[in-house]
Amino acid sequence: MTRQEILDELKKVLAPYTADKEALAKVDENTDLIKDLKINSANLVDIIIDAESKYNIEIDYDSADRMTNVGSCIDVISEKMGQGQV
Amino acid sequence: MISIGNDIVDLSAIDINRTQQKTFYTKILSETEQQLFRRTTLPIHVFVWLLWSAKESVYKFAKRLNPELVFSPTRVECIFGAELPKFEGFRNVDLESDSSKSKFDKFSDAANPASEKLFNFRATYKSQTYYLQSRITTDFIATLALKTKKSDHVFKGIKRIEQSDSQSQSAAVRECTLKRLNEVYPDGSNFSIGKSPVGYPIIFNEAKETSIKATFSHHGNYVAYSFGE
Repeated sequence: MTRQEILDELKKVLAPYTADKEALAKVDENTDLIKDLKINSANLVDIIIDAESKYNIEIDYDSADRMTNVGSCIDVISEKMGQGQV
Repeated sequence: MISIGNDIVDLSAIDINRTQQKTFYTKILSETEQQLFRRTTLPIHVFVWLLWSAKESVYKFAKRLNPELVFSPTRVECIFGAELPKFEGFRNVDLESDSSKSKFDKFSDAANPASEKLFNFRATYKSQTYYLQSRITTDFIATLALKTKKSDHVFKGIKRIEQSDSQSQSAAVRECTLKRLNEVYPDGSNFSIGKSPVGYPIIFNEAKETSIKATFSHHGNYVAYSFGE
C-alpha cells in the first residue's frame, strides 16, 4: 500500500472519533490527532486497536506511543505491514 | 507548584465491552497493575479507567516540564496502599441540578458523600513519584496529579454539560475556571485564559502571565479543571 492509500483508509479509522468532519476531510501527514482533529485522548487506544484489526497488524507499546499525528500513524502502519509480509 | 495535571472520564462515553478485552486493557495497564486488579473488587472497566485517568494526569503534569515527552500509559506505574479500591456501589451523583452552584467545586464538600469514593494513591513515572487523588462516582472518574501529598492549595471543579462537542467542552471549562479564579482572587483581578504551544492552559491577569498553574480535562458530558500556585 502507498502512503496515500494508507492515509485514505486511516481516515475511516479516525472518523468515528472526531466530530470535526471538516478537519478530517483536510487531513495531511502533519495533522495532530488531538490538537487538530479534537480527538479525545481517551480514544487513542481505540484507534490503535481499530488500526490493528483493519490492517491485521500488531502494534507494540513503543510504536503505539508514537501515533500522535497522521504521519506517524502511517509510519507505524506501513512498518508493521511490511514486517507482516516478511 | 511546578506543575499540575488532571483528567476526567465520562463513564457513559466509554465502551465497557471493549475495556474488558485484553487487547484493550493491556495497552493501558502494566503487568503489575494487571496483577493488582485481582486484588480489587472494582469492576474491570472502573479499574482500567481509574488507572487511565491517573496515567493521563501524570503525563499532563510531566509534559508541562518536558514538552517533548511522549505518552506511554503502560510505563506509568500506579501504586495502591493496603487500602485497595473497594467497590461498594455508587449511587448517581446529581450534578446536573447543582451545576450552576459552587458546591461541587471542591472534591471535599460534595453534597452526597455516600454516592462517591475518593481514592488517594501514588504513581511512579521515569523515577519520579506522583500523588494522585481520584473521585469516582457512577457517572465519572476525575483524577488530579500533584507532586505533594497535600492539596489544600489546589482548587478543583467538575461540571456536567449538555453538549459534548469539543467547542462546548472548551467554553464550559474556561467559564468555570474564570468564575472560580474570580472567587479565589477577589481583588479586582482581570483574568483571561490562554493556551501554551504544548497545549496546557495559561492564566493571565491583565495581559500578564500569572504564576497560577491550571489544568483542564473534558470527556463526553463532563469538564474538569484544577488550578493552584
